[in-house]
Amino acid sequence: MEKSLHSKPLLWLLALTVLATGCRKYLDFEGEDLQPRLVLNSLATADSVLTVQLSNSRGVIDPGPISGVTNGQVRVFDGQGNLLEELVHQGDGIYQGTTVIAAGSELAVQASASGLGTVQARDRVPFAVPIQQWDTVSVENTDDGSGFGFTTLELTLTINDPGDRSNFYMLEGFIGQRYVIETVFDPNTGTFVNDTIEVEEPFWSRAYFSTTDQVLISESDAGLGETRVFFGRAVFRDDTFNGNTRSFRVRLESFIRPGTLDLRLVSISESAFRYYRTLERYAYVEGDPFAEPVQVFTNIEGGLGIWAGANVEQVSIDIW
Amino acid sequence: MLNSGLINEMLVQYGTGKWWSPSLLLFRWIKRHMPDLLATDKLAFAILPPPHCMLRLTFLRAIGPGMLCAVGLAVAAPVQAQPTHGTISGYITDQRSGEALIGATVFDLRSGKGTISNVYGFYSLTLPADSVVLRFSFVGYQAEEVRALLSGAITQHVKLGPSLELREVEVVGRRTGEEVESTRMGTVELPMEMVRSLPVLLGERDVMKTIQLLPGVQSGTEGSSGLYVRGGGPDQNLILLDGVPVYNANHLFGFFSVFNTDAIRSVTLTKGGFPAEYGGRLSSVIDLRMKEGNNQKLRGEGGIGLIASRLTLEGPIIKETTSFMVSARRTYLDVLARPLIRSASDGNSVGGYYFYDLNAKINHRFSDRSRLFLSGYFGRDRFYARDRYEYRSFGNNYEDKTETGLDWGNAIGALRWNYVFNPRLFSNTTLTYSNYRFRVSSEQESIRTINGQQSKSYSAISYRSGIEDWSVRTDFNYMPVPEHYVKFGGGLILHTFTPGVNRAVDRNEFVRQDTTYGARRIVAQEFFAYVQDEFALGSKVKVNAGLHGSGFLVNNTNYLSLQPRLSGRYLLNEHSSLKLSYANMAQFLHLLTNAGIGLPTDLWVPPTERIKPQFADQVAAGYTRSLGKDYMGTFEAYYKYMRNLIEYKDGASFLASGTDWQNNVEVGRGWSYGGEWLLEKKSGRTTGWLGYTLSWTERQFDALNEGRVFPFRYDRRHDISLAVTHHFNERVDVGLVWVYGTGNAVTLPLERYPALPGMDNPYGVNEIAHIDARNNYRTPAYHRLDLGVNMHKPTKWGERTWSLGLYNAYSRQNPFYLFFTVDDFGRQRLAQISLFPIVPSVTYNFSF
Repeated sequence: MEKSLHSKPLLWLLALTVLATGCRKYLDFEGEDLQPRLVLNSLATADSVLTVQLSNSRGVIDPGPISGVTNGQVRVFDGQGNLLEELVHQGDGIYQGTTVIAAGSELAVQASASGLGTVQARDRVPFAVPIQQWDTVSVENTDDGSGFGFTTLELTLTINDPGDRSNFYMLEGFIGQRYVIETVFDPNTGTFVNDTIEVEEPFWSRAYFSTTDQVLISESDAGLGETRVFFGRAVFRDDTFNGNTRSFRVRLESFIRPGTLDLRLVSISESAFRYYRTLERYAYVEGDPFAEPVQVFTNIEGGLGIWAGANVEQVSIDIW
Repeated sequence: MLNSGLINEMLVQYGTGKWWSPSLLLFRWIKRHMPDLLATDKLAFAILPPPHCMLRLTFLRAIGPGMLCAVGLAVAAPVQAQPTHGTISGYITDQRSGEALIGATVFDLRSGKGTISNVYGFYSLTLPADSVVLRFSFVGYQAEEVRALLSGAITQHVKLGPSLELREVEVVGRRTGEEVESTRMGTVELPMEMVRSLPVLLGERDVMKTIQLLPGVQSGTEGSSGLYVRGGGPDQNLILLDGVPVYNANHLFGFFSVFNTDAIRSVTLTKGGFPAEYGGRLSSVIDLRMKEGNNQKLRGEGGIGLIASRLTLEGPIIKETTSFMVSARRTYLDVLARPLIRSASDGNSVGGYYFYDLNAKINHRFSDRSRLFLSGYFGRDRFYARDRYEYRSFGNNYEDKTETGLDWGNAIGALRWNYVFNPRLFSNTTLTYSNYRFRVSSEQESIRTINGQQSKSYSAISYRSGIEDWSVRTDFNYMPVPEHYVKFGGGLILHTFTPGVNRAVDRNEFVRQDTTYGARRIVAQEFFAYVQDEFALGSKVKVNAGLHGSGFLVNNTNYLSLQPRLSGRYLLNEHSSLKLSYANMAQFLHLLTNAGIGLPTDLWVPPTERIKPQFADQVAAGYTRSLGKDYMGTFEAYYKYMRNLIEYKDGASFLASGTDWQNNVEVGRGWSYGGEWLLEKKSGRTTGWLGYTLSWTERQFDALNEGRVFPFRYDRRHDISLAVTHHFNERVDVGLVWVYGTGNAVTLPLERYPALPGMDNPYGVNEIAHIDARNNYRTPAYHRLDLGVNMHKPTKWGERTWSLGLYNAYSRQNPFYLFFTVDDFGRQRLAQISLFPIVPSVTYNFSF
């Protein structure tokens, strides 16, 4: 995205001048007296078991800790209100179940904890939408002579969007690079020592990618023809291509060869879509006094957090 | 018929004349091709100039038979009355200065009928041919009586002198009875005497700050001159200086307005019940008229204040015929601070801020029928910083220069031609130019002399945005009989928007680059036409009905709008009346602005396919009562509904100029309702007003706040303002202002909680500060007391006045900005920044 000059530096200077010269006064703030509420966070992913994090909220200026709720009760119901299971506390506020989540199922959750009340939420786990086709359109070798060239990878993927419903997606990329491990930790000396056996292990990190695709950038403030860079994740919906086949082209700016690209197309519920969209925006402008504050989406009745469904479709692409 | 007499007169006078106008072209065409029409009484209506025709057609289609009767009356009345009627017309002016008196009353003591002068001082009264006794009056002036035998057309210019009965220490405002009788609602004529006497921040008199003291008008943040009228945004105010829109009325981030009070003759605020002649904005019209220039003698006034000085000169170029007015103002904080900055930086740095403005006007009277006015305004704000560092090292010389600047301002001009077609038809044709420009730039230059070899590098980046308008409009006032006052006209505006252009220049031994990029320039056309008639239905009911039609063409997209306007009053008795109004308004421009201070980065943009024009409907009901000759009380209740409003998206920054503005905003609706009480004392030693507003203002956007309704940032439940001046004697007068307002609605997080953990949260957010709703928190209430005293003394050359003021006399710490911070004990706290504690001021004013 092309960045333009604007008055930000001078206005920052003005803002600092105001802060430096204006009179400051502390105000009584009712946020101080707010009672903690129960926070429930979970992304219910198809073909996995349920994991829920329970914690408490605090008033924004309350210095008290936010910690996992260990004495809570988390029960999961199906769409008809039948109890599926009660999750078991695993430690530090993490509760886990044993039932494998089925795609398309509607799940309701009810959680309670002493002194924090009861919260509930409901959402549906979407069906997966497969990546129909992928293609590395161009691989541009910019080998610097070190043997590990930086490559710009242009990737096209195609999906068939189901037309019977609104679909929400999350496109993620993970890059796995292989490192040769030649040392092992010696517990006797407390140091790393050379080993005679070399182990090659992949190291995974999120992939930066950029795109000019109008659908992918439509949720951002980028305009037509502008380029937007994503830190490993683009969240979008099918408003403009519902029921159609759609290809997306993204560009991974610095891909170190050789390596593996795990491409994930995560079908997410609308609640998850709204949560990630607002969370991304929140992260982007945090601390900027010139930006409009962001309300991060929550669908937890009586509390805070997110209860949402997801279904992952993944392809792995080895680049040599 | 209409007058064969009238038409013949017009044809004789203009049919072969050299003056051009669309209506005259039509006259000429009819004369050449359809001469029979001119002799046919029943078709006289058809040969009216184009606006009349339009009047007929528009009313027929849009308002219906009822209104048609009214308009028909307006036009047909003279047809029947012509043989036995006469018209007296002319200009009413101030005897001392020659300035037009706006709203002066002309009243026939025999028939009990009358009229008032328009904004150019022109009046016209058509009465049965008989002897008349006309009384010309204006508050604060000695009334004049003219006896005449009315037959045919009589031109009678009247000069009114100051009232002999009025003690010099008394101040007078508009006659209370006029407001009871008027159909206009939500309209306040601001007494300039009050503007000059009330205490203000740093002694800088400011009409916008005085307007903020009126009920229904709310100020923005502390010190700002922004106006929020009946729940509308700052973009919804049409600010007209001599009829030319001013797009950014702020100096110094809104702490001062661009209007130099010395150059202003009259200010009228309309916040509801808009007559059809106004259009283009949803919430208010602020009509400022510059002085025309004294055509009797050279006069001057000025002042030297803490931050600025000003000087105004006016006088005749040709006595009674041509006069001028020129007024200038400049701040000198930069001049005062320059030595300090130089000294602190060892002479390497210079920086500062200043603003200046210049108003000028010249008017010339060609004849009793024809007058020309040329007026202009030019103002600039500028921040600048310059650094220069030079040093030597190992025999080599290094020199670095940087210069950063931020400047913005308006340039406007108006060429106006008043022409009296006949005693009942007055016209005003105006060609205007308005330009608002904002620019920020940074330049760096380096000169290296190493081993005798010199190399230079230069780089610069700049950003500019703005809006430029050319417009032409013609307005007609048609006064066929005392019972009707018809106004019609139309115009065209050519807008050129520059939403933001960047330029980057690099010049060094390796690169020579000059790049320009950004949003492209957009050209748009706006056009409008209107017709309105103010007519009486019996002795108690008076109605002003009209229609304003407008359109906007941009990027192959057309928007059209027909806006009916209606206001009326019912006289309960001599002292009180009930009023009712409805106005439909359209606004084709949007302003991208932060909701707080008046920054120069505010960007005007046209509607697009996605972002539609704004519309509003407003109904109001009121009660007006004069309480003796000095006091006036009004109550108005209103409801305003607005569509296609824009607000920034969550997370959008108003400083983000690098992206398409459409992606930063959401579209929604809003409404405001409430009641406004105003008690005014209009004359005597003590004058002023007490205003109270009780209101609710809300917004609803599908994509904001989960689609829930939220309060507008300036939703103030209670707003009180007291503005009083008291003249002790000829030498001393004092002023007092006290304001109170419910705190603004701001968005603050109240809770914090953990985000979704692990790989499902790649954004690095561990904790979320939870905002349960937009504008969910109220800042502390705002209140402030300002005191001032003016000490006058006659001198050999005129008069001098020392003005002493105390802004925020009890040093209330009013909120400007709220933020979370850590206090001295390490605790997280909510803190407030206040801008102005008690601020004393002293100004030396003079006039001669």
